[in-house]
Amino acid sequence: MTLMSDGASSGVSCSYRLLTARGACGVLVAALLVCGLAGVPCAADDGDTEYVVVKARRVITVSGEEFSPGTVVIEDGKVSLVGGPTIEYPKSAKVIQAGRQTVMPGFVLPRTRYQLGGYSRSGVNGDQNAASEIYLSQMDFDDLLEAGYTTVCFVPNGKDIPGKACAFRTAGPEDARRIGDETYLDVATRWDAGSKGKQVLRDALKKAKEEIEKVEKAQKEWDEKQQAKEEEAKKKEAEEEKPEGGDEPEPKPEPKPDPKKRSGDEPEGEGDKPKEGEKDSGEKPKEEKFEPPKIDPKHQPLVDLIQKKDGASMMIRLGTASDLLHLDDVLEAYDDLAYTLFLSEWTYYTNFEPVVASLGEREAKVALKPSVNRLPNTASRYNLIAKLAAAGVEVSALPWNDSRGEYLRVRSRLAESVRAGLDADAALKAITLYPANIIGLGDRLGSLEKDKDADMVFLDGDPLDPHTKVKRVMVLGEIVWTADKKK
Amino acid sequence: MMTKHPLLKLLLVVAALALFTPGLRAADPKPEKGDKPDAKQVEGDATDDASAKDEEETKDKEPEDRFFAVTGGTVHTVTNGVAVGATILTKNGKIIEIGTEVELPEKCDVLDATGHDVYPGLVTVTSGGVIGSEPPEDTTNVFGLNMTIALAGGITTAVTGNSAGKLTFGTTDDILIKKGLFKRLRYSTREPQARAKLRADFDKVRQYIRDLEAHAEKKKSDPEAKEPDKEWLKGEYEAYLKLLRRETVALISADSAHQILDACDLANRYGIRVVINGAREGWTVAPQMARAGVAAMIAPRNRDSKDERFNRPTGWSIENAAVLYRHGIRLAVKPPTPSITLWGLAGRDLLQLNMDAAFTVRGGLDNASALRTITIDAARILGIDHRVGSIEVGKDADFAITDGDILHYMTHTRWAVVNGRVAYDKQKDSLYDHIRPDGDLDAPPPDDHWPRRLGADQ
Repeated sequence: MTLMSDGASSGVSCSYRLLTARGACGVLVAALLVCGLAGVPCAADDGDTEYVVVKARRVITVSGEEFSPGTVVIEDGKVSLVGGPTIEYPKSAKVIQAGRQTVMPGFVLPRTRYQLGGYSRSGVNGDQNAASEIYLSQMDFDDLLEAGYTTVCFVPNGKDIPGKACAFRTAGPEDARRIGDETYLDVATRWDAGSKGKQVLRDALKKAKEEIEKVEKAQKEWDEKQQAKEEEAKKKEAEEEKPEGGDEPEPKPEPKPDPKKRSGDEPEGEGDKPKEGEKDSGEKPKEEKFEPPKIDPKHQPLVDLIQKKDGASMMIRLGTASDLLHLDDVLEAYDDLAYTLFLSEWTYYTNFEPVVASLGEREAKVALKPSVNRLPNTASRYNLIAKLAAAGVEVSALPWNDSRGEYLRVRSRLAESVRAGLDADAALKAITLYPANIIGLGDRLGSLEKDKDADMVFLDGDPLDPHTKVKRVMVLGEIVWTADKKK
Repeated sequence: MMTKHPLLKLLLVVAALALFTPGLRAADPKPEKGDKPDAKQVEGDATDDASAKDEEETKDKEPEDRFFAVTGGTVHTVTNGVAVGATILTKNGKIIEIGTEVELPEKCDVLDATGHDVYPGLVTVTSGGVIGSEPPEDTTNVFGLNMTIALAGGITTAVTGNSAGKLTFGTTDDILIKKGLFKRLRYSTREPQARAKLRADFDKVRQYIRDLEAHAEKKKSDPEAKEPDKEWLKGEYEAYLKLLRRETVALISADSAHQILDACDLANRYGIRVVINGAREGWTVAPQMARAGVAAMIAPRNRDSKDERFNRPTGWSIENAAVLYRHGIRLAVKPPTPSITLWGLAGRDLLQLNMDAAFTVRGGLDNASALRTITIDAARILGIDHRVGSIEVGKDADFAITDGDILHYMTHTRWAVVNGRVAYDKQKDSLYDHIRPDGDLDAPPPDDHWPRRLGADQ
């Protein structure tokens, strides 16, 4: 049989064989004749792998092609293939017949305070993490599941820089719930008159830079000392070599300078860890390991940002278009810091129009509460989310507030935006792939692609139809929530 | 209508020139060069040469020089007379040349202000909500509606807290002009103890200054002379020291005559520089104010009835500004309400700062002096006259370009320029675009005036 894939997913698994209608050869045609349009169970599997197959009238991959009808093959909780009705899967696979339902990736909520209490915190608190507030056993995620959310990112509360956000699955096995330990640093500064946001961020970044310089300086000093030591040792070596006239050049000079060196300098005082592996291991160890000065944990995430550590990012809250210019003033001194934006104020009140082009140019990742509104002090209708998407911004949609009603309404709010000009594709990405990118899990969540987690929602219609409801939610290949059960 | 329009304008300009030229000629053959034409020319040339050199040097570097010119307008320099049809050339937000024969560089944004009047951007000594709070360079909403409204009133410089900043619409560059404008003092008869303390503190600091001087003398003969103790000289005392050395200016709120006299007394006794905020009854004590050398910020339309119990003039006077000005007191005019509020007819707020200046004319002040109260004199009181307040070579390129005399109630700001950038364009903003578009009384409002546009195309 020929191994082929179906356009959207190019996955080829060795444990079983796949077929598509497009790559049909003679054998495939035979298989089609047998199985019709209902998917093709074939070749036995190796036994260890757990297969789940979802068959639905419509499969929206979000990142690629849509299949109608479509099949999703899940291998150990991960999507291994998405395709049309004729892709092949192992006989042992558990088949979920979704019938007339639509299947799409589980929704991702990039920032929420769902069921979390209030408290106030101000200043730079990079050492704090919202995860410390989460007690999964005491939380009920039904409201989120009902709306189709499979992953939510909790942000800490407070002003200025309250801490890091943390992503959790809304359901699934205990050990797989916490998926993004440290997603992004929340920068909740306010930039308007009477606030000190610009100053807070500027000072925090400056402090972080100073911390880096502190370490670099210590390292340099240490290096210099080491070098001086070596030179000193060499000198002594040379001095001792001369009178001896090179009779025994090899074994003697090495151990001899050692004791002197030890007694002569102990620069770091503490923390000298002897390094082994010297030629004469019987002698006293002579090298100390460099111990960098400790970095202030409150500023650690900003240090990571400046050092471009993998996955380091911050989400900055903006209230008006003007704030972006102020933000640029602050970030000017730094080289390409990774950040996403949270347009926090109501578009009703605020006009981001002047910076839409600028946001598009920098291909910003933005989260906002979608609403079709009017420009301030005018009668002009304005659909900010559509403008941003058209300009090339990755826009994520947020519920208007943390309540069941708004969670359920997110899709219809987007539908309203679509009616007023937003690209439907961008609308679906706004609750799946783009928020996954914001929380740094775009390679695991947000679309139905090979090797991504099999987090899916089953809808009874088009996702952008206000009447459509979530019927089932799947996390890592298992149905974790069913609409009927709830009632 | 449309074809007639430019012709009509040209006719008007020609007529204006014909009317005014003889008079100007009688006074000075080159009126547009101001009082000191030679000096100015030299200054202009010098800057020009320097800039040319700069240009060569910085050509390879990143930020390209930004040239902007306003041509054809009637330039009211405020400090150097009026130049009809003069060109103002600016570079990177600073004026580098003014004259009728200015050669423009190749890459230069030109604003044709023919038929319009070019004034320096107005300076308001108080404001609220127009630029951000302290520090303004961090918190200004550079796309704010209030900023646009203030620019539409010709204002380009405003005070917030204790800082002066620019209304830089659309950019956060170069907002701040000066920090720490004033040292505010409370010196009121209602707080006798605070008054006594202030005087005692001043005495202490003054004694320190005297001790320091004595010490300097003593040191000549005795090199080991002990310096006066200055451990205590912190915080407020330090501020007072600066005041007594005339490095900073005190701002004292005083409206009634006796409060004003008290402030004058303080200025006389300690030799400090004082600006009186309010000065409603200033007209009754103008000679004393003049002798104390104080300046005043007044709201000419702030009214107060006469107090019949006193056997002397009391209350407000429409002539307040004129009387004070006649006595040589430097004045800044401010609106009764120092923010954008939309109260009352013709505004009692920052919407029409020019109307407040015009009101002083009603009280007897001449037009030129009235204009000074909202431009150069206001800037001097704030200590920022080296940057703003008049159109001079070397100063900031801030202009209010109007469709008529700025003190006339029908006049609109057509363009506001801040730091050499057009920050407000009446025909592109929806606030007043329907009112006498482009200065033409008969022209209809633009088709798309309603629904209003602000960048939206839906």
